[in-house]
Amino acid sequence: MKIVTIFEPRLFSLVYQQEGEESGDNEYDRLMELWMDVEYLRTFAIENGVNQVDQFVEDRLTDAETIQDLLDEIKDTEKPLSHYFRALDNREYATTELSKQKGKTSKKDGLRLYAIKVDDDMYVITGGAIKMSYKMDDHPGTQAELPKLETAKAFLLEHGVFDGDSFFEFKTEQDDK
Amino acid sequence: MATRFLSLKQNKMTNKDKFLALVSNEVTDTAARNKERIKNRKRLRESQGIALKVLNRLDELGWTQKRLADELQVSPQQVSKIVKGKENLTLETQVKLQELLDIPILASYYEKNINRLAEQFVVTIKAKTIVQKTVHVAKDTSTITAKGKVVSLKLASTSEKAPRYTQYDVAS
Repeated sequence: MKIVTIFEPRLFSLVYQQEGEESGDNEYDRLMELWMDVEYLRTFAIENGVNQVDQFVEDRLTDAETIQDLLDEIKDTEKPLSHYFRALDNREYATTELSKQKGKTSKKDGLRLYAIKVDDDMYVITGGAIKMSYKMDDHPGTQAELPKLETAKAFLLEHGVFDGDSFFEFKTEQDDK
Repeated sequence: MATRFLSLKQNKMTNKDKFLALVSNEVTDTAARNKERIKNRKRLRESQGIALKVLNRLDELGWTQKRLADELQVSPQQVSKIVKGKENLTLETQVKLQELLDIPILASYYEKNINRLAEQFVVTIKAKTIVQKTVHVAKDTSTITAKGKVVSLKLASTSEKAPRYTQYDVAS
């Protein structure tokens, strides 16, 4: 597991390297490429019994564009990432360490990015999914993201990361290797 | 005591500063790729639209992507790229797809086929029953006989989803 910088010092992403592969894409790019793949979206819609397949595909492509625009805006204007990410658990206190977060551009957004909040305005993307049910547990796509969040959190804790400063220390050591 | 706290604070700055100093070594090109996607958006949307039409038509015809590759005389990898909706297709490929699959990709599809599209029409007459008639359409206005009454029609729209059917509104 490796953590790469998307734009410093605020947004990072995990890279899940497959065995035998030299290096994989970071989660943001991997997911964005998937969410812009017409064949993937169409097959997903059909497999999930969506009624209006063409509309579903078009909606997800539009959702992907909205995320791209928001990310671009956040980078260029230093708009806080909290405009996009919220706590996964609504009942969570604001000060929870390494909080699990979900990203959505609006109520209508059918796509989700998941991340660990390391500190104020510092997030590590752990994965993402097409949102098909109200609760994450109720659909295999979103359900598969929960263990990824857990693993990432455990990984960070294991490496002494609990806030921004300890994250930078860990990241510098990782990059030095 | 104050000195110790000062050096702790210096350590805090050092970690982030150290990181920022090294960051250029491993920053992803994600931001640049993101900008590229935004820049190519109009073209990508066209590619995506074509991909969807191709996939729907392959299903209708019962063709595999391999069959399409053979018919187009391209590699299966090329077809795979086309249906992902990210390829910047050449005009040649667009014409080949349009002719082979009979799907609207270019303006020429409608311009050439305005006569050929006169196969079967659903005519909606206001407050009357729906009449199905086979008509020939020379231009965008024509007349048909419905329930013994001659009515004139104007071409209202051609649906992209069902290009063989054209909905007509009664002109008067």
